[in-house]
Amino acid sequence: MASIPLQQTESREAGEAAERRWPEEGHTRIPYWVYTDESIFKKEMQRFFHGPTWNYVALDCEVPNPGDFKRSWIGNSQVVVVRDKDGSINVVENRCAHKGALVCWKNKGNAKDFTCPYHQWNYDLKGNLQGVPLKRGALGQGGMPKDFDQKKWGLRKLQVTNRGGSIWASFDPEVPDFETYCGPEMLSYVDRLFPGKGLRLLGYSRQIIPCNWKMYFENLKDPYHATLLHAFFITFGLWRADSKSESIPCSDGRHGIMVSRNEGKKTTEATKDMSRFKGEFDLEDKDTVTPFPEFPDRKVVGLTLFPSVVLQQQANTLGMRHIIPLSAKEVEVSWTFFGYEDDTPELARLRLRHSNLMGPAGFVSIDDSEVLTQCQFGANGAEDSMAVIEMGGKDTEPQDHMVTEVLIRSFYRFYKEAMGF
Amino acid sequence: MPAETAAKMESGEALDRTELRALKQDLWELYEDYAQACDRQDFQAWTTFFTQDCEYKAISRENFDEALPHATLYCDGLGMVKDRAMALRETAVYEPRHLRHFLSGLRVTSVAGDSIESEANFLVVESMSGRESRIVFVGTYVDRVVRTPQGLKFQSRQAVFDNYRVLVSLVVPI
Repeated sequence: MASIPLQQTESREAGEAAERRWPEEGHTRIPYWVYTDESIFKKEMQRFFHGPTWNYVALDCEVPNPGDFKRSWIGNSQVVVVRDKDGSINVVENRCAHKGALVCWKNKGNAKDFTCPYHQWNYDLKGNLQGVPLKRGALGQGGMPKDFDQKKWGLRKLQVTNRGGSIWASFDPEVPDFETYCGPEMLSYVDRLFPGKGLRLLGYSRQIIPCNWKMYFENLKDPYHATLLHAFFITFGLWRADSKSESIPCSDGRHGIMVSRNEGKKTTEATKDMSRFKGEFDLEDKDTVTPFPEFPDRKVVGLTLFPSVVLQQQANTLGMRHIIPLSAKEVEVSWTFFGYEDDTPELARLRLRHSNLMGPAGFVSIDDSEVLTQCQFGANGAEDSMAVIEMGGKDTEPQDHMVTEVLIRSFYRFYKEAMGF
Repeated sequence: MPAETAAKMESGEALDRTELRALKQDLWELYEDYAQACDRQDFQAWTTFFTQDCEYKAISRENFDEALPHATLYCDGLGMVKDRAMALRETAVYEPRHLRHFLSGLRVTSVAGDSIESEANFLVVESMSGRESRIVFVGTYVDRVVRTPQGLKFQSRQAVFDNYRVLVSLVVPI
């Protein structure tokens, strides 16, 4: 199916979005209306999630066998990820071509084909419409008109890429290939997590955070906060302002790479500014903060791959944080925790333990969910005000330290232009 | 627990109605005391309900049903339980809240030696400033309780929550 031309999209973008003016300081300011305005949210869904972007939808280990399917989301549209008979993976929109009912009602399962429960329109695993009951009518009466062309009425099919077992989809047939979309630097970090060896699904944690989806995305572009807010990280050396680190904006600023290193518990000159450093506390069970060095580069990495996902590797916990925007003021974050088929029992054990750092009950992620909730409260009703993003300067060049908001500035430089502000 | 009941449990002999009723009474007290420690956000008290070799999980229904090992909150051994309590007291940043556990439907699913398998439903309601109270967790405990010299303790407690998503965060254990 052809993508909606941009012209037509713009003419439908009525309402407030068209009236908004970005602060003249540019990308060092974020007007709070980007977090509150539903007309802007609509525009983002069309331009970003339905536009020429690659969206994370699944890991291939979630659908190992032919016919295995999983429901997923791209923005606020539901899709089905299904393993075809030949082993390839298809992604189709979960919406019957007839009356729009969801065709697939289960989150996971195995199917030979998909039948909409309403009027039993039947689709193959590629989304092609195979059967319309009573198409020729009954007792010589009714039925579809002669010119009804079954080939035109399949489920909406998406572009699909499988990169080392991570599955990405796009609504836009004109989307550049995944490699180009990521750019070489981001791609090398995606490949670092997905080098092509078998993946092992460990499980899910899902949460609703009452904040705009971009706030969540920004939080993973913000090494500055992690050195201050997260006492657990700071105290146990998992993330500190005095670690060797990098903040690398990618492509046109839409993606970001945030790199740090596990330093262990220690007191240095910088700890005096970390008011939340708790020198007196120690853990009974050190495993929680003692990573097995599985990556030769010893890095800790957070990737924001626009628009749909944060790829996380902290200690030995690996996770895809799927960003599913629900409205301007609410986002679902669905965490898929995984490891590799060749994990030793010891590494598998550490992955489960280290996942306690992350997710809705994570030693550090609790802080984020709570703070972002408060940020949204702050943004609501403050549409004439703005955030200031000047830590580490005003520019958008890569930086080799943590005391910077360069990734957020780069993101908003991209956003401002992409949204036409 | 009367010595006679304990002896029967040891030998694997089936409990009669009165004995089962008494056991359920003991379990009910354990469940209620645990819930109260959580509701009071007395994290130190929370640690005392577990054995040294315990496992505690707050795990989603989907992970539990699919036998996936990841739990939203996971403690493997009493050390991790104590660390969780320390982290909540000393490092976690969260908005103040009141929580209430409501328990129902206690059932004993197996008794073997010192080990009792039991289940009960839970409902957790959260109240925060400026907002209506709301249900944040609903589900079933799937437990293995053991008799110790200090009374009944959880060797394994899985709080299997049915709600598809966690609302904001899971701070206070369920």
